[in-house]
Amino acid sequence: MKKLPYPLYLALFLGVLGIIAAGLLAGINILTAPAIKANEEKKLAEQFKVIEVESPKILEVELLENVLGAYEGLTNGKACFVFNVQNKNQFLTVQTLVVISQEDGKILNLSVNLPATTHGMDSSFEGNKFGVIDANQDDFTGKFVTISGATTSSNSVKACINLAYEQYKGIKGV
Amino acid sequence: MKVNQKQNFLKGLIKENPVFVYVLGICSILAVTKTLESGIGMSMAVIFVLFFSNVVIALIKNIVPNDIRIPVYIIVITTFVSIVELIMQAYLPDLFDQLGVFVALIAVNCIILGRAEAYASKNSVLSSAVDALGMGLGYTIAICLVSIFREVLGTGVITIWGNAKINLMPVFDFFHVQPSTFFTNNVGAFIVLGIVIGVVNAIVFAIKDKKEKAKKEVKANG
Repeated sequence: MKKLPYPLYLALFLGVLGIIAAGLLAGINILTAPAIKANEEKKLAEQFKVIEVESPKILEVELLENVLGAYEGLTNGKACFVFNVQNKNQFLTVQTLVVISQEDGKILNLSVNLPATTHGMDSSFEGNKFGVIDANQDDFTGKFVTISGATTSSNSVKACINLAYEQYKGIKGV
Repeated sequence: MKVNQKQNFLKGLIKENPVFVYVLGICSILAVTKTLESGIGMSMAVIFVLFFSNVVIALIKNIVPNDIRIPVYIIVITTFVSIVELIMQAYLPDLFDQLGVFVALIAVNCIILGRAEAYASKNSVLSSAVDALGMGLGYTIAICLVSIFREVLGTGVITIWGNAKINLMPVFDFFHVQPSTFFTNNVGAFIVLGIVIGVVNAIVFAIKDKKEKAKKEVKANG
């Protein structure tokens, strides 16, 4: 049998190893996927408790990229939308539930689910909850730039709020 | 070459401790030692990856072409890191949230690639497995020591696992001092790690000196 050229042999070796690794990971993924999904659902349910939204219902709307879900419900007797959004960078994923008033588009509440290692956000994020907040928009761009009531300047959280607001505008046709 | 497995295991604890002697893998030590719980979780993950990657690399060492040995080691290591990440995410979600990105960063932990290149690629499967356990335990000792100092000095509490905690606040109260959050900050991590490395090395050198002096005395006395 003719011997393979050396570079081709190296590529083939790495390819076969990659396939074996992928197969192994696929197997582990199949085994762990149900538990991971259950954990995520549990976490989301806890976040809904934090934002105090009663009987949230899933909204069947076209979701923007990184918007994981849209809901409508009541908070303190006010009709609201809840958007489950995430902001990803190379190091971490910050997932946030943003409660927006249906009436005037005001940000009513937030629940942020973030890794404990997020810099600058540990102490100010007690219970991962902002409570009732005041998020201020830039007059010129319309983007949310400051979040009063929370001593965080997290770009990830601000990005989540802005994304939720974009989704809100899409639904309201603003 | 016949390897004494007991010595092979024990060398990783103090004599060739990856953290105290080679100062490897300190990124994760600085990052996840705020509580003993996260330190223990991290060391379990590192031991898992180190053990299985050493075993697999020792198994395939004779068929791996020398020119691509490092990419091969990286594929093996990252596979096990992904496995530990999935398992942790599924069955230890709180710990996974605590450790965050540092679980994935085990893939670039110098101890693991270092042992693969320096040991597993040249030795038998059994020796590599024993070496991994010894080195992993050495890493665990280091991470636990730093965690304990940081958590006690920073919060006055030791979180062993979940709600299992040891409250040392009465000791602080006795001496009329308060824990300082300085130690749970990043700067505190550097300082505590430096002091722990210094103290451990000072003790090891003192013991060595004592042994050598004793040997010389025995020789001098005939």
